[in-house]
Amino acid sequence: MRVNDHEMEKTLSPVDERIRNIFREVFDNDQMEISDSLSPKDVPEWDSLAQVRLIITLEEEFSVKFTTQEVAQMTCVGDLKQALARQNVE
Amino acid sequence: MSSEDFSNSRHRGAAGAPSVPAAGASAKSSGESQSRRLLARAKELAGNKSWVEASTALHEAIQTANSFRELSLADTLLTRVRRATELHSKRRGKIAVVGSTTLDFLVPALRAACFGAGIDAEMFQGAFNQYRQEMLDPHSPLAAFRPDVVIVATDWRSLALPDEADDPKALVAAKIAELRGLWRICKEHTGGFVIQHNFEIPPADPYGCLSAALAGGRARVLQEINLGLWDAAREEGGVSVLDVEQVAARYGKSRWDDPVLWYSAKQYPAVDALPILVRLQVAVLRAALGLMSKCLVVDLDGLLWGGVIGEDGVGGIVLGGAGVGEAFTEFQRYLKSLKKRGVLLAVCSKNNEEDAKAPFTQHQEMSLRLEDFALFVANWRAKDENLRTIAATLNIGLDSLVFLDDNPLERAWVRRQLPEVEVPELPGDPALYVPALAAQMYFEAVSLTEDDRRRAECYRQNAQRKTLGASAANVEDFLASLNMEVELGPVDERNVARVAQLINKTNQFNLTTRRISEAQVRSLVDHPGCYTQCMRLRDQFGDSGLVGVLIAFHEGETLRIDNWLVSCRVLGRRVEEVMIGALLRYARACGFQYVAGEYIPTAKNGQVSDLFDRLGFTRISDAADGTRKYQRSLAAVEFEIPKFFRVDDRTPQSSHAARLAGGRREGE
Repeated sequence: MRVNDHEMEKTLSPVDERIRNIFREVFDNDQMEISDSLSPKDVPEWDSLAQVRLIITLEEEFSVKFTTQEVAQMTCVGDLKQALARQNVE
Repeated sequence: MSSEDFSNSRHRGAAGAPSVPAAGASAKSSGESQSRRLLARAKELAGNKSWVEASTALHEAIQTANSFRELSLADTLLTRVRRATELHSKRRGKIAVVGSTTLDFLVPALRAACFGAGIDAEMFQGAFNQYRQEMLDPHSPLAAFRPDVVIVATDWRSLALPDEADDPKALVAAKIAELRGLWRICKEHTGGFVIQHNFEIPPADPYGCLSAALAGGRARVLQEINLGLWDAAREEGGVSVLDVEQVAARYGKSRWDDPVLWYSAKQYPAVDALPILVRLQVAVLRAALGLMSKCLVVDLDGLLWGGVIGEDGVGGIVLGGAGVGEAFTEFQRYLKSLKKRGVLLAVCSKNNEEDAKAPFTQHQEMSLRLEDFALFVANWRAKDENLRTIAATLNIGLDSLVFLDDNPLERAWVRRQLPEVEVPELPGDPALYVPALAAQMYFEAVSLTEDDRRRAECYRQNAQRKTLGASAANVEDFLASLNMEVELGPVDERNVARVAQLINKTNQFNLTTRRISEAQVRSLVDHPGCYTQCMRLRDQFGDSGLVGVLIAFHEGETLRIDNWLVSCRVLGRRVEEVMIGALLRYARACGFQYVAGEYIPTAKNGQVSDLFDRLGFTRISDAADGTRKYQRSLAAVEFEIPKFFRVDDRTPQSSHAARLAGGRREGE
């Protein structure tokens, strides 16, 4: 289940804001905005290495650890949020 | 999700933080937020193009950083600042990291940590698991990079050891021989110093504890490989082993490896373990580049004993016995051992001198004695002022000092007044002093020479010489009264480690400050067109050891001095005149027309800017950057060395003799 993209842009929940800041940090781009459908094909710098950086930064930010399965499956912002939700980060 | 329990058990909560500040940056529990705050500040400053201020904030942020995320963020900002301005650093270094695992996270963290330690590092990152090819290929990008240091970050998995080996001896020998071969070729191709990671003994083993008990067990084989690596590195020279096994244990092996990231990204160790790993790498790099701390300056009350000597008296201070008193005693023993291995100790205390010295002569439980200190400063002046005095008296830079004080106000003051001085945080409980100091890894060394062991004694003798100097009528009489004996000889196998150490850490009396690795020094020894001279000095107060190095090259009609340095321990003794005298004699005997010299200015070598002028050389060029070139005709009058030296010159007296000596060496 993905949250509607437009809905997210309207009101950025505190968790969404933290996730967006992580994207800004990892991609070193202070203007970056994210939506649930955002995926590596939209962001040229989002390679496998950036993917790992996103994961370890999210893990640190939210004090969680993802499973090997989750790491493999997280292919867009919505997936990342779902994985976080499974660890009660919402 | 079925793995939820497992993943929860791997949470990195606050409870997971090591009790000792293992990351080495700071004992402050607020270290992380402090670093983040400083990083935010650095970013803002960089945004305003205040590059110098931004780099200062970054430096501080890195020193207090204890997560990969902070180091990584710092590296991103650092790259931005570096693009805009030259970074202020003690030393630039070209550092290559090759290895068997993903290096993409290690390298930025290491680059940031280097900057925190005053090294502006240009980094080369090897490709994933390509270390063999990179080290073997003379045309590899690694060789083209010409690194000062090559870190070989191999992991235990890459050894592909069986759980139980059939022929463990042969296996251990083969693994060591392979790495040794790589080092040798890599040193040849790159000229760099090699830092080899040793191997973690993984905690999960199908044989359990038996793994170390069985002759062929993997744990035992790994232990033997690790021991063998140290022996091999010592024999090989120019190689140092980085103790991954120990740092993994210190960090906690159950958290050192992150299986998820291993399977997902071939990342080893866990990203959270990178800060402590890179700090150890930096500690060894500092040693390899000659930047290690030299002197530990200690406060007294509350640090070496409990209570206040000026009020409680010798009988009232807390020292010895069990409990806190025992913790102080142990801390003193630790400091004494540091001194034995070559770290200078000095006292800087706000006390009356007489009170401050009383425990050292009267208290039975004192492990440290007055003679363990190169300098004892007890007065009521501000500590930054006294630290300046200590550095000046011992003839070392402020950046070679580590200052320990139990009083947070004094620490903060010194940090602000003297940012060059290392001032670690200290926990409130004296029982934690030893682990807190050890975690900083200030005194990692790549070798320990006889001169290191004698260092404290030398510096104390220097203080005595100063006293004698005060009573002599003039400098000449004073120097004559020292009964100095100089021994000159070529660089050879017995002294090459010390020579390389001197070349890499001497700052003041250093004409060209050309740093070369031990491997490169070794290659010079057998070079037929190279003259090497090292100088030892003894006097009535003791043996200063090997304290001078001179390297020159045959270039047509000229003998050109490439590297010339004298340890700060023996400055002002006119030993340089003995050294140049021997070189001039050699040059004349070989039939050279000229001896050429060069002075390249640095922040620290101003005192030798006119050395060649003083020695009767003619200045032939004066570049805008302050570099001066000199020559001296050998047709000029013979150089006279001061009469108060007794000289034992064992250097070759002509190139013919040098060739003979070289021939003998080869023949051996």
